[in-house]
Amino acid sequence: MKGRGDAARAERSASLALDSHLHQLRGAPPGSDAQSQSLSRLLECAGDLLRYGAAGEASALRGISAAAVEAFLSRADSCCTLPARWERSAQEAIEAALGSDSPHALDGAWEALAARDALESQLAALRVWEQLDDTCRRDASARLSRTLGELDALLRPTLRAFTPLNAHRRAWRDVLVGSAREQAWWFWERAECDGLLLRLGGLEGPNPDHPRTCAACHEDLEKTGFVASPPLRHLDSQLLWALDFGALSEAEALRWRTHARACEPCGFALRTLEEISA
Amino acid sequence: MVSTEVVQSDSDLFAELVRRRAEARPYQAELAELVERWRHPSRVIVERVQASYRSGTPADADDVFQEAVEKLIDRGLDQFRGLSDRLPGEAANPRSFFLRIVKHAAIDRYRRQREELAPAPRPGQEQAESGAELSRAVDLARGESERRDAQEAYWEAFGRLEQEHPNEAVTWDLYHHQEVGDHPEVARRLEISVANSYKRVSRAQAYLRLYLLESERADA
Repeated sequence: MKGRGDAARAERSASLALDSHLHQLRGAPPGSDAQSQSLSRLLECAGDLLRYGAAGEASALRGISAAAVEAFLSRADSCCTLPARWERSAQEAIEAALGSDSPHALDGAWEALAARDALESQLAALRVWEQLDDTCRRDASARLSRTLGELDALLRPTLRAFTPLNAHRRAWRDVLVGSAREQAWWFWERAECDGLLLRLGGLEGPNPDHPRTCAACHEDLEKTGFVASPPLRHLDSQLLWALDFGALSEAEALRWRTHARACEPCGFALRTLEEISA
Repeated sequence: MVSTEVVQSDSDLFAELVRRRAEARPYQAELAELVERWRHPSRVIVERVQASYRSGTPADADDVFQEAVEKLIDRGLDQFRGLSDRLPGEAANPRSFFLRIVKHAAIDRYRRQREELAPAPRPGQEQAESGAELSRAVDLARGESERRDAQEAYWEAFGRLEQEHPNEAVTWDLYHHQEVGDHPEVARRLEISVANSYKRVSRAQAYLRLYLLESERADA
């Protein structure tokens, strides 16, 4: 897995690992879990090399069987587990930004970003493989691309949580080559918005002038500023139902009856409810 | 010739409806028959709520009736208990249960109308309906609607905070909703440190804002 601080060594690390994964793949029994796992690592390494700068590494992908690719896509463990890992990592990043004093608090938070990047590398490698093998079906990369598109729709709305990792995100963003950099939203989106979580939490972040010059941060803070002065809650339809049908605790019910005594519209609704017998 | 057909009681028919629904079998016929029996008493309930709010027309009763049937299907059937909470020990009366839902549907409607309508002009006051006044009224209604949307979004986000981060939610509730507004006092009531109170409130605020931003993006 890519370490947070390994950006400068991305190409070299992938190059060193490639032969090892190729060797493991050749030795794995066809159709086995070991074969799928080896192929997964090989595709990731080959894709890393394609995306992080080296050319001419397609030779490692020759000879991969269509059956092995099919088995790899069918398992797709990384895709299935990524949403849960992402959510866990997002929470760790938020905790790290807003309360943890541990220097290792961000270690777990990086995991999800690395996992998403690994999937993108596998996709890049599959595309090259399809071009090398005339006999293969050319839908493997399309299938993985569709799956990643669906995943991104779930993951991308929570990207703000990862802004505490911006220094490392920028480092990895900056070593990506060409279109690979544009596609890697998990590294570039909001990568300059350091301190966003601190500001959302009502604290001062680094570079206090940033929200004035960043339209995205300015909009986020403006739109949600009312949270610091929460709206008064009234006995709305849901609460009135819960109160009437006994779904509130005694303490909550007392609190809302007390509110209704002081609030005319809520009191009127409650009196109407209680005075008209069904 | 006297019909020998046995008419099922409300309770038996309701029990049949619940059973069929639990077994994923069609139950619409039983539902339609039951609610048709309750249409007239529903109208009486709606008229009483209308009188209370001094609002509404006879034609509304059918709309409110339909809303109540939808609420019965969406929430009521799952919520109905075997024992009436008003008469413990006796079998629950499905007719009473439905008429309570009708009450809620009517109160929701006329309460919303009361909040949305601009104040009626006083007797003798000129009822000017200039373009500017209509435009202001539309802006007010839109603003009111946006305010309600923001309120609903906020309370949904708080509900999520209660589920996912209960410690932060409890602290936020005490500090803001219950307007304690003082960290040492919050810390005393929750038996936590003052530093922890600060951290929890800060985290709660960040989470609430993130939830609002995520839901807005998901809706876009």
